[in-house]
Formats: sequence, C-alpha cells, structure tokens
Amino acid sequence: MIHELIEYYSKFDPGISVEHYEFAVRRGNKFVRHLGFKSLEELRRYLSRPPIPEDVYRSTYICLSPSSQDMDEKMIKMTELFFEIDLEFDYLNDRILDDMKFELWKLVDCLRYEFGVSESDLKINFSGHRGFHVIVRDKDFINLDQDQRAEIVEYMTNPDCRYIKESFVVFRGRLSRISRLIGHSIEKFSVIKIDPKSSIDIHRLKRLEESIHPCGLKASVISIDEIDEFSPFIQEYSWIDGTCLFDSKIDDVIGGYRIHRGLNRLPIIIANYLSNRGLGEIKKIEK
Amino acid sequence: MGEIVKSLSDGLLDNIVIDSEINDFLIRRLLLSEINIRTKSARSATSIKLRRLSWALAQNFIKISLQKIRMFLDDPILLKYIELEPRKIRVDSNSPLWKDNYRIALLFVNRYSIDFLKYCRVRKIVPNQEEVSLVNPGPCTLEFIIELISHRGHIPAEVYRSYVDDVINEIDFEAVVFGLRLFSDSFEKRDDRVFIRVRDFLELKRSEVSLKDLNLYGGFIRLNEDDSRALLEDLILTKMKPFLKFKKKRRMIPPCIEKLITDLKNGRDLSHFERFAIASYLIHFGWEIDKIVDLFRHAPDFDEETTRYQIEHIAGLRGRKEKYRPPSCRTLKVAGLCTNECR
Repeated sequence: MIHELIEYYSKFDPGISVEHYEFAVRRGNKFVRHLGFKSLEELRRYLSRPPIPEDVYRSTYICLSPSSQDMDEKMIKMTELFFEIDLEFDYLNDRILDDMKFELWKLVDCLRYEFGVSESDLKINFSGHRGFHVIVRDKDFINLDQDQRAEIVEYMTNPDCRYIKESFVVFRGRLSRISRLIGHSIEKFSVIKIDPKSSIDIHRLKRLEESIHPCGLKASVISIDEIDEFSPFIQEYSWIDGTCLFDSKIDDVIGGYRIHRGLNRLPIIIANYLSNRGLGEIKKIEK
Repeated sequence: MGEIVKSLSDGLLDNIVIDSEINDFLIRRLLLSEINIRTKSARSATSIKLRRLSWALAQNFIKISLQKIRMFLDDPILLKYIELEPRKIRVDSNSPLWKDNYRIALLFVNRYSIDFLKYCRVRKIVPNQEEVSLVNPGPCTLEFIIELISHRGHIPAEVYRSYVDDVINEIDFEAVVFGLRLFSDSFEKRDDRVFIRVRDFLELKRSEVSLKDLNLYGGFIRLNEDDSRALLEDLILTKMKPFLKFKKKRRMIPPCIEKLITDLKNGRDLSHFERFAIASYLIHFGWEIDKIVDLFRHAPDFDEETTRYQIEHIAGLRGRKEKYRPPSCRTLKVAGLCTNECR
C-alpha cells in the first residue's frame, strides 16, 4: 500500500489553512509533535516522504507559531469547539455505521437548531474508524474556556434535561409511545454520545481531515447533505481503486456488499480494512 | 432646572442619562416630581416611562454617598413621616405618602440593615403579605437588591440567601427583567419570555443555573418567568459570594482527585486532562513542584523534563506567568471523573 499512500499524500487536501495549525505524526511508537508547515505543498511533501506516518494529527487550536515547543510561544489565538463521536466495536459494518450516523445527526441538529450554528460553520469529517469529528467555527463558540465547554457538553450528554422531559409531557406521552414503537427510549434521543474529555480539553489534537487511518480508511470531510449516503467503503470516499479476491472469516454487510465466509470479490478498500482487522486475507488483486 | 422637571412630568425624559456628577438638588427634584406624578396618574403610560427613569436613578444611587441620600431625606415633607433612629428607620404606614416613600425608605434602611423585611415584620410596618403586594415592591425592592449587591460588609450567607429568595419571588416580572439587565445588556424581553444569546449566557458568572436546565432555540436561551427568577437569584448570590460568611470548611483534596492520584500510583495511563486536573489541584493546595513531579514518576511514560516543564507551566512559573485555575467540580463531573463522594 506504500505506493498508493505516497501518491495519495502528494495530492491530498485537508481543506484547512495549514499555516495556523500545529501538526503531529506517529510512526510506530515514535510520536513527533510541534510540526508547522508554511503551505499545503510543504505538508504534502512531508507526508509523502517515506517513512509514511501511520497517524497524522492537527491541533484544534489556531496559533501564530505552530512549530514552537513552548505552549506560550505558539501564541494560541483561539480553539475551535470540537466534538468527537466515538463508538466501541470490533469492526465497522453497515449497522454500526448507521448507529454512528444516528449520533451524528443528533449532534448536528442540536448544534444547528439549539445552538444556532449555521451550516457553513459546521465542519464534519469521518474520524477514520470509530466515529465522526465535528468542528464548530462559529465566532460565538471559538473562544470558550474549559468550564464553558463543559457546560455545553453537559447540556448534550445529561439524561435529565428538564426541557426534553417537559416537551414529552406536552405531547401527552404520544411521542414517547412512538419512540417506544420504533425501539428507542427517550434517553436515546436526548443524550448525544460525544466524548466529554475531547470537547473540554482546549489543547487537543485531532486526526487530520482527509488523512488515512492505520485501519486503512480515509478521514473524509463530508457535508451535512452527504451524511446519509456516506460510507468510508464506497468509491466516492475511498482512496484506493480496484477489486480483489478476499478470503473472509465473517458473514456481514459492509459498504453495501453482502460478504460470505470464504472467497468474495470485493473492492480493495473493504478487503484491506478487513485484513487489517484480522478478519480475512487478500488472495489476489485485480486491477 | 424647572425645565427638566417639567419635561420629566410630561414624560419626555425617558432617555436621559444621569451620571453621578448630578447635583443633589436635581436628584431631589426628580424624585419628588416622580412621586407627585405617580400619585396623580397611577397606571398611565407616563408612570411607566417614569418607572424606567427611576431605574436609571436607582443605578445611580449606588454611586452617591450616604450623606447625599440623607440630604434628600431631609426634605421636610418626607421627614414628617419618617422617623430616624440610630441604625434604624421607621416609616409611618398610615401616611398617604407611605407607598411612594417605600422605595426611598428601603434605600435608606439597607445602608444599615440588610434584613429589611424581617425588620418590617418585627416593627409591624408591613404586617402581612397583602400589604407587601399593595405596596407593589416591583422596582422598589429591586433597588434594594442593587443596594445589596453594592453592599461591602460580610453578611451571614444563610440570612442573605433567604432574604434574596424572599425578594426575588415577590417582585414583578418587569423588575426581574430589569434585574437581569443589570448583569448583561443582552437580556431581551419578548412577550412573556426573556431571551439571551447562548454565548452571552456562558459569559455570566453563575454557580447553579446551567445550560442543561434551560430551553435553547436557534442560538438563544428562552427563559420563562420561573427560569428568569432562578437565574437572577443565582447571579446575585454568585456576585455576592466574596462578601458572604460561610461556615468554615476544611480545605482538602477532593475525592475524585484522590482517586486519580491512586490511579496514577497504580500505573494507569492517565489522559492529558486527568493529569492537568491532578497538577492544578495540587498546586492549588500548595504542594511543592518537586513533590508533584515525584508523584508523576508513577506514570508509564514519565519524563522528568517534560513533566517539570508542564507543572511549572500550570503553576504559572513559566510563559504567561499565569496560574491555571483547577477545573471546577462541574467540569470534572461532565468529564466523567466524579466519584460522588464529596458533599
């Protein structure tokens, strides 16, 4: 995959103004922080030069001098409001992806309709494996301190939100019956499964948009309109083309493909992911 | 001067800005003219406008000295009904001027004593609840609160809390809105609700009312009457906290931090935020840097230089020379670190 990675990173575009963020990379167990790049070109050159880093991170804070070692010399201007949806699972299939999107929709709707954040200030990307990242760039929310961020997190994660309970009372239980009918509790609707610590911490690193997760999936940036169709396994959000023969150890539906135990013809992106997870073996690559 | 008072009685002066430099005579005349007009046309549009003016004045009173208040209280008409005792004041509740003077009396009294309602009850000035509502303690009582906020002696917390609670639940909604606007200009009243931008709300210094109890819509918080009262009470109490006398509590490391320290000693790999919480609390409790660095030796990825640098940074010995505030109890709770063992 090295050649594909080199080729990918030499052309990739994370869609952020590179010069204001601090970057960090991991190669094996070596972690390099305080990286700064003056231009996208410089970042591409760095990432596409072997050894290719396994993880690429960027800061959620925007600073004037990202490569300074000292936190003060970095001159941090602001910290984006950052949310991370992070689910636990063995491997990603279409059912889990739907659960992840359910949480993402709750978060996006809460930010749009309750906090009044406009669509253009909401940046969503797939986290690369276990969930989604949402960045808020609204000027009202970029300069909050830890305690203020904690209050927002509390609002989103507290199951005893008084107003939600009251509005269910207003519906005279009808809504709660409907919610039971479709198999979700009120709590499932009101509590958003975000990771509190990532949102509270103001000196946080997050996976760089559009970079490749070690599991082989791309941390694609997606717009709100794309959420429903999104899957890291489909062509549009993949970074390697081609199909292969794959000897699978599982029976499941991934990326719309019905996978059976034994040999399957699959897109490389799915086969590569499953073999990284130890769920099978690539037998033959067909271009 | 006469012109100002005339346009005031015509209700034209609702936009006047009065600064503390204004002379005593003007203040006295403004007050008196307001009283006259209020008694003449109790609920007309003019009286509403004037009420706003009286609020402007009320804010002003914070700045003027006791001596000046005494000066306008020296007015023979008012003085006839007000009996001054050392540290106390008595208002003749049978006087026709009683209702109008109520606010002036309040203003004066609380220079000396904070527990005015209690005092009134003892003195039988306002013997029962009906009379309190008859007096319409709306903006009047609020001025009292403004005075309370500017009070700078130590007050027993319990007494103050129950007093503010009494008052906030007695004043009318308009007065509550006015009170909220003392804390932030961005409170806006529309129909029977008060609105404030989420961002401005987060900036307010509060201790109890938090986002999770409130109704958010389109970037605004929508407060109903009960929410508004609860918020105003919280804002007043938080602002007054440094002047309240609390029963002394022993300062000790909170159990959640104790637990993190135990985890650290057992070699658990703590997150950045958890490490920050430990370090900032220990610094807050006056531990020496070396002692804290030693504690972090238990961390699986311990590096003396980095650790010392980080801790000195949190202690404000480096860089900005600013000590980091330890995360609040609520923040620790939200981060899932609370052990539910304290209070």
